[in-house]
Amino acid sequence: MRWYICSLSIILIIGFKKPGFTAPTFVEDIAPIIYQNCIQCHHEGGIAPFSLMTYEEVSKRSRQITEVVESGFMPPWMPDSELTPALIGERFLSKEEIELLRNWHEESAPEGSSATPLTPPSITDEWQGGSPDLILEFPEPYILQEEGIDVYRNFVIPISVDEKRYVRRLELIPNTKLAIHHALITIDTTKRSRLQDSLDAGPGYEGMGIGSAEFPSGHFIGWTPGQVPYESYPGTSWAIEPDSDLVIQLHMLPTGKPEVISPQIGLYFSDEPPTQLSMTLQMRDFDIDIPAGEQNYWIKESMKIPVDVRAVGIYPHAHYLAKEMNIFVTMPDGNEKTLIYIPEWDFNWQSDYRYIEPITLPAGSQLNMHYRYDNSDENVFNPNYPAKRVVGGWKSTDEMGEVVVQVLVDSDQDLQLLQQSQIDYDMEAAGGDANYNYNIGIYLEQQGELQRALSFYLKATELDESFASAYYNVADIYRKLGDLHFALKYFNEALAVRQDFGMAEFEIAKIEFELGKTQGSVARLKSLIERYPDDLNIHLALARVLRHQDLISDAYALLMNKEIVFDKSAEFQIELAQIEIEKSIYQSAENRLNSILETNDSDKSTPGYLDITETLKAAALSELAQIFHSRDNLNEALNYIDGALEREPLQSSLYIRRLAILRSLEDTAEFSHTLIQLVSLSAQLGMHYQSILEELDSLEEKQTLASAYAQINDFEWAFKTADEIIKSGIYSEEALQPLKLKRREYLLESL
Amino acid sequence: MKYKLKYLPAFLAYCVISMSIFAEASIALYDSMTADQQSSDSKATVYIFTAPDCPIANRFSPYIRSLESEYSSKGIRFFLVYSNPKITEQKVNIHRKDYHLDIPAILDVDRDFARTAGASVTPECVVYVPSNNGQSRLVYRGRISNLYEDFGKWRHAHTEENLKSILDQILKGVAVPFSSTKAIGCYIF
Repeated sequence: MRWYICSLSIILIIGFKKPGFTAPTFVEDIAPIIYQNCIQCHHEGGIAPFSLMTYEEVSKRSRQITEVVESGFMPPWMPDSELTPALIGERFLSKEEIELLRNWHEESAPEGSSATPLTPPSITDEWQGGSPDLILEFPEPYILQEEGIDVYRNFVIPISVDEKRYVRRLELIPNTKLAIHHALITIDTTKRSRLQDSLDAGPGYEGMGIGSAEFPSGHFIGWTPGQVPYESYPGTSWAIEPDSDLVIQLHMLPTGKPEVISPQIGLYFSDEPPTQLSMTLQMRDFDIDIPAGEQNYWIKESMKIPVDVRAVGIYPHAHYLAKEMNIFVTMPDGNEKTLIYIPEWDFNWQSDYRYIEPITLPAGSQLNMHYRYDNSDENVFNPNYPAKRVVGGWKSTDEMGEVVVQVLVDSDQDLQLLQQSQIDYDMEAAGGDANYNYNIGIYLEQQGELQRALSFYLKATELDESFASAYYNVADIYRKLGDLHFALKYFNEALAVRQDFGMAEFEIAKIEFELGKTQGSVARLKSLIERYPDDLNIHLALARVLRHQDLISDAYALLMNKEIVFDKSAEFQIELAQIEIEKSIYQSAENRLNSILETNDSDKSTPGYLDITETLKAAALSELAQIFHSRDNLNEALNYIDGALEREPLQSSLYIRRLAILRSLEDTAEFSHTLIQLVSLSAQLGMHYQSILEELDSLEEKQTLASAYAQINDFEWAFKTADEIIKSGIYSEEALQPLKLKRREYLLESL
Repeated sequence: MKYKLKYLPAFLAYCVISMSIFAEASIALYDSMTADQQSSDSKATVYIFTAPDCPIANRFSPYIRSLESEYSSKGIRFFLVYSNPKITEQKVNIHRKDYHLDIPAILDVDRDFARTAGASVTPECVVYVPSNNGQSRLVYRGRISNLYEDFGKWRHAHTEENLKSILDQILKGVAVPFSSTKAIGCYIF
């Protein structure tokens, strides 16, 4: 049998060989193509399912390789390279290269020989940009089930930075083959994603929405297998703040066996804050409504560009039914220019794209998005069989049509005009669609425009009276605006329309406490704990309310009961230590606090505590100061509180604690110095005059406060303090005398 | 335990049997076969061609497992076939362990079985039934289901379960004529 096959191929070679035709060989013709285009993913340990490094590996699959390059499935690259301006990381084979592969396969894939041995270029599965400045990892891996349809899940990773940092580059190492199809990288500064995470069993939480997380300002960051890592356009680094979270949404596909999902994200910092103004323009159509069987359903959107901009990146997005995408600009002179053309969309290979050279869109241009959808049974990607009507929405079985274009702008004034153009587009597009109004609300909230966001959320609740998330966001804005009663009202609305809305109920409990409705708050938190027995935040909230009620032992019992469950949370340990201090269980408290401080700073990839931040370390130091203060070891206490202040120089309670220690030390000079610091920072610390005064014990201290105000030339408050002292009836004329002189000087100066 | 590959009288068969280290199921080297074994009460035998480094075949693993557990109790035997000159017993065992495939396997190192059965890709299946003359008869060759339409083109869920419907027909006792479909997957040759 084998010799028969062999002889057949000899006949083929002899039979079809044309004069002067030499069969392509691996070493001379094929290896360069494969090494240039395939092995970045197709190598041992790479993300592709098999390696294509050696002759054996390539020749074994010559037929499959020929077919997939001819069909365009490989290398995976959707944009049409002729119509689309040059993109970073473009991967495509020329007609000649494809023909070489076809010929090579048909000639039985000969190896050939070369004078110099064939050396494949070196490739790495490690960080391509060298060692990142910060590596972020999943707190615990997620196990993807072996079978079934696509899974969309959001994972929340605390960003461990001590201060604001600027990121210029981001890389992702998937640590798994095949399973991860796409990632979206977003940032959440609100902690809401953490809560959402804790309310969903297992690591991360499900869904295609990113909730309160957002793309870094002016950027959209994705990851696709084989993509060139995200490097921000020069001058457009993006900021990350301490205590915020990276929220990564993964699109995963089961592979046939359970997969351990635990990618690493590497961040590369820049010393330079952004020097270029950038913004992301978005168009989306939520009115999609495709009848079953429709093969040519078009959506067309357009937006005015009022100022000169330069496009640096583009992210076209749709779900499974989209077929063809054309995003182009109509220039003021009527000419059209393609930004990206995708003749055959495949959701499984969605990606964001960046231009090699920015594309100029002059003022007066119009940005257009034309997408075609196929909702017939012919479309193999159709999630429904038989085909059924599909409408726009966030679920993967809903349809979507949107594009994000990252643009550079020349001035603040241009930026404002462009933002207005975006809002005008949104207002017109939103119309009577609840979802759309809600999404614009989110967009405006991200821009910090709370009042305007509120009106869109409220409109969403009018259009859809059962829109729980819209009620929730209305409530959240009212709380941000300081109106707790309205916040409570709308959180209750959210809970009324979705009775298992744990996040809304949790917020209600917190506001009830703030409004003094302690009993109601306790009852609610207890019932939440029954439903979410392993939720950290609910436990902490209840412990704080119980402490407030002086039910220290109850708070203690509540947390001790969960000590094993939350043993990786520094916040939990500090809360428990505070309770122990109140119960004079000093040694245990000290151990807890020290274990937080011992968490290794230099190796942030494997912290002992998952939520460790500088703020929590400062809190631990401050509590240690308290312990040593109560043991009368005042110098040690002072050391600890200074360590805390070094980490958190804007935390008023630390200054108050320092004052108390200095009082015990009877160090009046240092006391006065600290008080001056406190009053000069009081505006930034958010501390009012009255609350500072309340912290002071004696007449002397109050006089020191008056002097402190005088020292920073705040005579208004200096005299108010003096008045306060005079009102209290115990004053020394001698002490007030310098103030009066100062006042005179001040008045003279102001004249 | 001795495994005898049945119903393929075109070849003489003898089998080298070994228990796998990891899996309960056996591994047999395919070489040729004896023509004697007709004693089994099997209503049909399913051979599924697979490969450890074929992502398409691997995605089918849980489904293959569920078919095997459903139909083996109804008198249908299942075998995995590894047709590859580089395949080893160890590779097969690791693969079956990774994908929880507790199904007897055949090492078809020379790919003769694949040639005889006409299988060209993984995953692809062939189904034989006993026939009146004591020989076996090929009734189906092709895809397991229509999950894949092409390389990189898969449905959310299959809409035609080809192998399953053939097996259901066999179990009904109706005469099943030969049919075939095009399987999508990694080439054996």
